[in-house]
Amino acid sequence: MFDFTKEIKLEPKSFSLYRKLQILLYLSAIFLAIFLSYLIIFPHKYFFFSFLTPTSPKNTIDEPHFTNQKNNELFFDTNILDSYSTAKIILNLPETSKDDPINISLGKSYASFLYNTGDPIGFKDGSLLKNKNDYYFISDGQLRKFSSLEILTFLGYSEKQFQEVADTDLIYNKKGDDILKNNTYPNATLFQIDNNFYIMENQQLKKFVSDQAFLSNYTGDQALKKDITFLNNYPASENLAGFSDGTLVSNDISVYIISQNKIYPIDNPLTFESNGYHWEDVLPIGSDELSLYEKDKLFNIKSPHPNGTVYKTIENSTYYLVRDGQKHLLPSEKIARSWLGKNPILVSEKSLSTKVSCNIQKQFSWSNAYECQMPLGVFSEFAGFDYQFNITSANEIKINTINIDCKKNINLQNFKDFIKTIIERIRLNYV
Amino acid sequence: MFKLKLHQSSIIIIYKLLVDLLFIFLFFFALTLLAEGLIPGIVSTHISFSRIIILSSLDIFAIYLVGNFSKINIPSQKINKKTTVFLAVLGIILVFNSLIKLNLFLAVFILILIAISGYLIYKNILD
Repeated sequence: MFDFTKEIKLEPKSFSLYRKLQILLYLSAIFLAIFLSYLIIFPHKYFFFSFLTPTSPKNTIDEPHFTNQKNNELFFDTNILDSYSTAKIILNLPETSKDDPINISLGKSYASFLYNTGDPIGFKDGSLLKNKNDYYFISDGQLRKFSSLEILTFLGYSEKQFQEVADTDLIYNKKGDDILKNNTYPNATLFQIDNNFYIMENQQLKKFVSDQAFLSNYTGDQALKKDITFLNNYPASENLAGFSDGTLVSNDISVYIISQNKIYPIDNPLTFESNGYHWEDVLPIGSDELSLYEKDKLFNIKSPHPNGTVYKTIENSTYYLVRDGQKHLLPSEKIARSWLGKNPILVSEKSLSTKVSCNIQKQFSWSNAYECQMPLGVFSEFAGFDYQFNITSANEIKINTINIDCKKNINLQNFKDFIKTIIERIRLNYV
Repeated sequence: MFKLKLHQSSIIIIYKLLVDLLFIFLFFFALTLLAEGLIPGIVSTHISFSRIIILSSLDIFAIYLVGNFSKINIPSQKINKKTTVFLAVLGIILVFNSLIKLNLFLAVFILILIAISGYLIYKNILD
């Protein structure tokens, strides 16, 4: 055993005592190191909310809210990146509370994928469609039929530009007026003039900020090729058209997500990859393209996927579009293609119906703490990291505090997961 | 009044154990720095750096108090060159690691500035 203070001599009896205590000290340090390693390899994750101090910075759960008037259904969610084995929920109830049975259920996916389902959405504006002998154009969400083939050619289109779709694909866009000869170009008509792309908006030509901005929305063959004199027929809009909602862009070392004329800087690579994004979908842009947008708050692990995000389910390739706090079914592959500027986010349809639940039990007969434990292993195959809790009771729910303790069990699989996570984090840090 | 009576040998044992404890703290601290350099947050999410530093400082203070109390006087030792070089190289690697996402030339420039500053501080204040 080493001695850092050899110069200080001790009598043999005292030295022997020192050696024993030294061994004890080093053994304690080794045990402490083992315990710390255990905490690192099989970690716990704690979440807390106090209804008594709802604005306290110690609260790590966003304020839970009641989902009905009777106040007997409480909802809250947490974001957990790692896959944990169990979640123990401890509710501290007021002393006056009755012993009503309280049930807690839990589901997991991406926050936006767990939104309520809205009406199905049809083709995107600007789409050119063909069904049997009829040709259609989508403008302002409406399906507008070219009244004849002559009008189609008169406006400058060729039949090749139109994609063949089924009858059933056309029922999701409202029927609009037919496009007649005396009509001018409808909204969302696309033009390519002198190597620039334009979109018709209220009889003004709105120029796309760049080719890649146009291509994030449409394909090149959707645009009508016109010469420069065409610009004399329509006034140019003061505003520029930008990227499609949900587009990922990068400038210097920062990566952003664009949605609703705002640009959200993504806080780190872990957030990027955890949200199911792909690096090959990131478009490098210049400062002129970046300046088109108002920079908004950081997109972090708590941020739901924004408007314009397209999900694809792994089980049956069903597509959903996120828009205004709802997810909307994109009823066919062709409709989905009109909205897809990049790879969709893969999700599991099963994650919508898979729930685990438990009924809370009193921790100790003398306390007001109630707890129950739920397995989280059933969620491990699902993409996403938003865990949504629903607390339901027959009567009004009154809670002082909510504690959640997520833990990983000690087993080989969790150890392998830990090693994988470490390798992944090193890769994200250095590659 | 309660008076604590300790034999000189007991005080020396305490002193020696405190020095051992300091070694343990510094060893943990060095390992933590290395682990954090490689994977940020791996240790600091469980134990904060400030706790390790406070515990080490308290231990140094206790060594100073006990040493003064029992009039322990250890003659100052020559700095081990091998240890110094090892620690300097380790320090440079850790600093460079923290600058790895910067432009390579900027990272090297900052590293040289830090090395020069460190050397001047060592020469003028500590030496």
